Amino acid sequence: MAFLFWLSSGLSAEDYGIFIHEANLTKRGEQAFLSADVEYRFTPAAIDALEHGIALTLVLQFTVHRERAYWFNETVITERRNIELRYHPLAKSFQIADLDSGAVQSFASFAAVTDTLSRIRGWPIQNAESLDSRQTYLGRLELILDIEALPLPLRAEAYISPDWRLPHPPFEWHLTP
Amino acid sequence: MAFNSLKPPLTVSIVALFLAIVGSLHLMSSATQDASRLGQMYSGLVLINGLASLLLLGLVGVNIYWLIRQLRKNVAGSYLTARMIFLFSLLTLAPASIVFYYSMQFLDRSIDSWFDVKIDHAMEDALQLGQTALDERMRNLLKETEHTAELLGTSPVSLLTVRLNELNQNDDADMTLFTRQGQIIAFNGADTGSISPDLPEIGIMVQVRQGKPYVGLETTEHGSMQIRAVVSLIGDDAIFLQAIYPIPQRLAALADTVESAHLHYKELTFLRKSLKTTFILTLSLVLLLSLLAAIWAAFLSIRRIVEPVRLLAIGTRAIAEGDYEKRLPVRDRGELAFLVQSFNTMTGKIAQARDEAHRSKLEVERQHAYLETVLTNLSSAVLSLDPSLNVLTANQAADNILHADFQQYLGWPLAVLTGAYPHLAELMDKLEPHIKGPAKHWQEETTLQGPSGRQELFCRGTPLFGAGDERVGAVLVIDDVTTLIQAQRSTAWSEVARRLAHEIKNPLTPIQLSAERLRHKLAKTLEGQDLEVLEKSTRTIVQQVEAMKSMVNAFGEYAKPTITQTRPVAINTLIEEVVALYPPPSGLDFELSLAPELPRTQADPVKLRQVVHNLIKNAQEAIPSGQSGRMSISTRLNDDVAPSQIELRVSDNGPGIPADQTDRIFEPYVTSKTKGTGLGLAIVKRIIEELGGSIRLDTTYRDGASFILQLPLAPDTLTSER
Repeated sequence: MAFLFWLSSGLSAEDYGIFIHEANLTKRGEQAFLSADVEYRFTPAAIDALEHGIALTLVLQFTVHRERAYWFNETVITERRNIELRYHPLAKSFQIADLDSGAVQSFASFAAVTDTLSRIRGWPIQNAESLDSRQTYLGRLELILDIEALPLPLRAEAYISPDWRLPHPPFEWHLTP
Repeated sequence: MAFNSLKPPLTVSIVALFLAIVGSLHLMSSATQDASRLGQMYSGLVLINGLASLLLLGLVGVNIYWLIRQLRKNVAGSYLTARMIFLFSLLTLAPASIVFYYSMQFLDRSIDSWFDVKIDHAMEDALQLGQTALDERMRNLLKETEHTAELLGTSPVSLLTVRLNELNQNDDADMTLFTRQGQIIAFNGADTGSISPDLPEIGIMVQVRQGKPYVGLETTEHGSMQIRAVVSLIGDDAIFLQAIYPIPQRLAALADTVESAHLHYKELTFLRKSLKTTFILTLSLVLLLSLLAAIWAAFLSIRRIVEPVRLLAIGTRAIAEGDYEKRLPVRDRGELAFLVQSFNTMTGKIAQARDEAHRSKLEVERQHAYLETVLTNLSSAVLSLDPSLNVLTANQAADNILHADFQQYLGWPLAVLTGAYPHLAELMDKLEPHIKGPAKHWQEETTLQGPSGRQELFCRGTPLFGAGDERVGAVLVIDDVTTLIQAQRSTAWSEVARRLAHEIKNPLTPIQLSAERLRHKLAKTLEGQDLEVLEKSTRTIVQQVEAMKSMVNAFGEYAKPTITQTRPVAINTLIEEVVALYPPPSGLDFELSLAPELPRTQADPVKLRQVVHNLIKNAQEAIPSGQSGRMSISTRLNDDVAPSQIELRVSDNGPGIPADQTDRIFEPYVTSKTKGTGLGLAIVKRIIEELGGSIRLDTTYRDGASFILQLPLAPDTLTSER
């Protein structure tokens, strides 16, 4: 019984998180674009906080390393995007705001929000011209719920409480631009 | 020293630490209060303060561990430190805990007081009011859009753009016609800024494709509000119409205010618990950090305060163990430092006094040793007694003169001593009145009948006085003057003999010659009775003069200084030779008891032979004629004395020596016999003394006279003996 409980609790821990299933970088001319398929499974606590007017910030971190045998890998590209999810009670709508560009999109449901965010398509990546097409690089993509962006009183709880634990395994792949 | 001078002072370190702690805490509390830039540092600050708390906890723990170890080892000053730390911690902890408790209470209640059911309702109502107003507008606009779509539905596709422009009466609205694939057919909008129209998201399209028109409120990128309506054209569901109407600014502003207020309130309500937790966390960290810092600072400062006390304790312990050289370092000023300084002064004085006492002791010991040496080498016996007549000290001469082992009876009363040595009882009885008598110097001549015969003693006594003039005892000085007196007597006798020889012997010859001449001349003229008288008288004169001559000669022999030539002599053989000269007709019967293998004595054989002759003669003369004389002569090795001596005992069965003559029997002309010159024993004594021996009368012998002679061993015998 206890074992079953442990098993179920173990499963439930894996039920939540931000998982990247697929990611790739394509180069069209000098410009490179990132595409990824992401699965979001937010914890009820996070969704509850969102519905209570607390904005959640997702941080997308994309890095490209050049592998070096003799020394640490060299980081060629570092791209960081901050995306904010908000709730508007008056319109009963959810919003995705790109904090870097200021672009805002409204959605009638939270499912529509995660649906939209799950398909990352053609995100332009800066400094891609330095990539050499003859070489193989190591791409690394990570999507994190930024706890530091939460209101201060919530941070301690978010750091400690399992209700807020969102595993976010990074996705790594070898890419040849 | 250089390192010490480079170290910052303790107070500066403590103040710096406190400033750092207070600064960090202030930042943290500021961060808790507002969500500005400091808010971003909050987690870091919590982490830093948490780490600082851990560090301080470690420091305090180390200090407590150190203190407990010191207490276990009973290190000086540790108990005082522990007490002060305990008191200090208690004094710090009590008010801080009270303040903490009430702060928590206050915090809890004040946060709860922000929320009110009424306000809650009002907020919800305001939002609903706004929603209702907007819903009304949305319904109207949807109807308008549907109407436009209806009108457009009747138009051919090629005229749709024209129709759209005609129908869009509202200047503010953006109207877009687009296909299912998202291809824009026509666009009419007031906003010239947006070149590409903002198409609806997939969710809306799904709804519209199912034939349900969509209307919804949206917030734009610029923060303004708009209403989006999407409908499908009647009869041709492959084309959709989207109309976006801006909300009038006044209404938008009001709605925005209501919404943001509602959001803020909802957020606060949601965060109520977390807020409390955060405040409690901050407050607890503040309290913990300040308490730990205070306790640590207490450890540092109390250790400094207790340092002089600790030093004093160490110093006192050192003094108790006899280390007077201990000097304590004086580090700062103040009463305790003054104490330490005074302690150093005191220790110095004690050390000085100790050195002086030591010097005095050494001086006293030196004096004592000196006195001891003097006393030991003194020929006089020196005894000291306390007022109860206990023997305090006695020198070696006392043992020799009084024939007693005083060293064994030091501290014992005289009565015990006389109990062990009965021959001293008479002497002590004579001296006791003097010792106990008036406090003055006294002296007395007395005799002691010791184991080796009668001794002439000259005793002097002085009472001893203490510091307060009280009597603390007495000192007895006893000299054995026996030899001295005998020597005086011998000298006197020698002088008498010399005078006799000179004054008496010289006139004797003329007297004799005159008497003979008188007889020769008158014998011819006288006859008869007269001649008989003359003959008789002159014969008497001549006879007496002869007798006097022989007496003076014998006396001269006694007084004449002689030359002795000593060599090792086998005394047993010598005795046997002499005794052989007295055959049985001589009237003496000899009983010889000679020890076999007796070592040889160092003596002049001629004189020793004379001694034996004189002793035998003395016995012969003492025994009345007609009585059979018996004489016993024995020899033995006397080991009781050191060095060993040969003891010769000569006894007879004569009348013995009268009691009144026993002490003077060896003086010339002291005799109880009718025969003899009265010089025999005197000569024996002189010869024996010349040979280094001694002779005494055995007064315990009752069957006659008995003499005991002690003779030294020959040197070769002595060495072989060793």
